[in-house]
Amino acid sequence: MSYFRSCSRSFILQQTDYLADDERIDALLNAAPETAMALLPAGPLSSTSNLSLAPAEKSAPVALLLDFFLGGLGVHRFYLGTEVLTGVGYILTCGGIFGIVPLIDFVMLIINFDDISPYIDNPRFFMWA
Amino acid sequence: MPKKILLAVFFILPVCLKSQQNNCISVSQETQVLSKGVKSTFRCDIYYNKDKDAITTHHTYPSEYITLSNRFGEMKLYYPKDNTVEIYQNQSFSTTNDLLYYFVNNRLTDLGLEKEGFRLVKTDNEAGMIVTLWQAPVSLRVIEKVKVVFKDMVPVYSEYISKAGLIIKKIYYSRYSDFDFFKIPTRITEISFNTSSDSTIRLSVFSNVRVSDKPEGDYFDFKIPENARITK
Repeated sequence: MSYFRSCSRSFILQQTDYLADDERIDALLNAAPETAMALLPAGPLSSTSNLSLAPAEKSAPVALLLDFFLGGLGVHRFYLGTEVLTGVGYILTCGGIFGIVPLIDFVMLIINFDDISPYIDNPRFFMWA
Repeated sequence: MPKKILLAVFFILPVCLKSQQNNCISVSQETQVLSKGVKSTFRCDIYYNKDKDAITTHHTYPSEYITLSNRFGEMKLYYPKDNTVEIYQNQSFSTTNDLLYYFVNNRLTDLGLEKEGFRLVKTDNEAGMIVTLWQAPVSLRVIEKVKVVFKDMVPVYSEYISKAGLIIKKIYYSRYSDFDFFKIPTRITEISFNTSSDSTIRLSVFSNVRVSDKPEGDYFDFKIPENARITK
């Protein structure tokens, strides 16, 4: 078993170009013993969604605290995930239109305390709009 | 004025009719997975209805079951042997995330990366191949960048790079088959780096690609029996 492990690994490390070496892949697969027990599901064709694309978990209390103390700088928005331009917008509008936007953010975070997912990775300046 | 309308119809109608064609694509898939020194084989037939963005997959080996998925992320697993069904709802199950969707709909420039929030940051030409580099959105915990390489206007290679700068996955697309409105690779090789000393190779070979205007066969419009018992 360890032979196949190291074999498949060394093959990958030697692959330097962008084109598959089909013969070597076939040889590796043909040499491996077949198991009757399925190890992995076949599934659909691989796509980007097959990788870990799930949004990172964010904590509502942390977002609230950051909004309360550093909301004028949009720090809570960066914690939740947003574009750099959102932060620029906060600074250019004197702390998010003189603190009004972070205040509304604060209220919306309290209202939606149990599910803040709409605000995670939200690129809009007004995350609740 | 009527002349103008007739002329417009003359030009628009063929386009509309053309777009209605080749909406049903079916393909047989055999996947071999080499992991921890042993190989597993899976076989299935995939039926894609382009009109509805619906995919029915009839898994035939090692066990028989049927999956039905749509663009809204609803997926049903039907086990004919037990007459049971499992229902799942998750956007990652959407048919618009399936690679087949991107190839059949000629959306090859980013292979769905843009929809996932990736941003194109660099384009290079290396030995006649176009190399594009995509920056992952901040939300991704694992992936930092994705490299996609094109040869003859079709993707031949993609590479997923972790936040630590390590390649965690390589995918090779090869042996393209040409159809009227799209090209599809008949061989996709995925190499995933599990640990520093092990990797998984997954080879998917596609054959028997059929393209038609109308659904042919039972599986394009497969209906789960009404008396099937829901288990999940």
